Amino acid sequence: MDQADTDWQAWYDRHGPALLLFARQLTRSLAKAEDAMHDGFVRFWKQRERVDDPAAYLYRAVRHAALDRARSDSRRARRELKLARERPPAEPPPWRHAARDEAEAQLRSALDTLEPGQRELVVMRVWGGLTFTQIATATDLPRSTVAARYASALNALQQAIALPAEELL
Amino acid sequence: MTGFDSDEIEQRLHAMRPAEPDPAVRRRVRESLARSTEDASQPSTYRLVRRSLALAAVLAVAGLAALLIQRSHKAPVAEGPPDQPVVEHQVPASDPNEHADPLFVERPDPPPSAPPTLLALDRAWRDSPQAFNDLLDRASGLNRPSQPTEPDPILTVADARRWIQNEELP
Repeated sequence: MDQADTDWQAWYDRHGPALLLFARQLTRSLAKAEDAMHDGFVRFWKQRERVDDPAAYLYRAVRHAALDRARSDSRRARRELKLARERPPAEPPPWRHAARDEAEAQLRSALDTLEPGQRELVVMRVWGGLTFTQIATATDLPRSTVAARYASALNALQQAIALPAEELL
Repeated sequence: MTGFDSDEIEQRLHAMRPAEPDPAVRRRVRESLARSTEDASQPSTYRLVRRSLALAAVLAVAGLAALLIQRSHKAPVAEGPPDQPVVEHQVPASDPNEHADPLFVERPDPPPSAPPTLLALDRAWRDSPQAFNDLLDRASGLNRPSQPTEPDPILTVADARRWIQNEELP
């Protein structure tokens, strides 16, 4: 195993779970999220030496790959979204897999109530470890907008957790 | 009912590690990176030769296409057969009765009456002026009036006396 192979695996181990969760916010299925993560990560690794901020570019590449797939499959996505609104999703979001206590279960359920744009920021900020500047680079948004949306997301989570747990489920 | 402030929410979110991607995704990434690394590790001379060959192939195809186009434009003048007289397509004469209506038989018009020749007129003039005039009348389609008859004799008083005396009428 050479140095380059070790390097990309380190990046993958560090950001893989967050990237998959990040891509999952933009796609309609886990399989498409995995495809987008693959495409974005390979593109990032080829271009990593030419960019100023590799971490921001990594999320940006995965985001673009996920959006491309979402656009190319928009008709099917609309149909799946309609079905998802009519009945609860059969596949739970990744953060619901293992709740260690009731408070964590509440937090995981509260994440479902966030707007997709807010959830995207939370994933990059909390699990990706990106700064607001890096998130702004990855999402093509002003840094002030990113900071405001993140604060709004935390506020929404705070209010959702304050509700009785049965109202979130 | 549970309440958290923002910092506590962030801490709990940090503690919630998302699910690991499927190992198949890691394998796909490894294979894709290996392919891209293999392509990038090709020696520069190899890439140069490959590009040169590709360029030569493109130029050869373009030259061949240009040559074919040039030959196709010159072919009728330089290497083509001598000019041939233009032969119009002959349409075979159709049988006039081919599509004739069996209930309708077209009959030819009768030939017009032939005018008398100068020789016949000359002969008629020499033979008889009356025959000459009749011949002209037939040729022109006119019916010349017949020869005028002698006018009725006018009875005079002397004729009446003679008729009474001799009981002769003129």
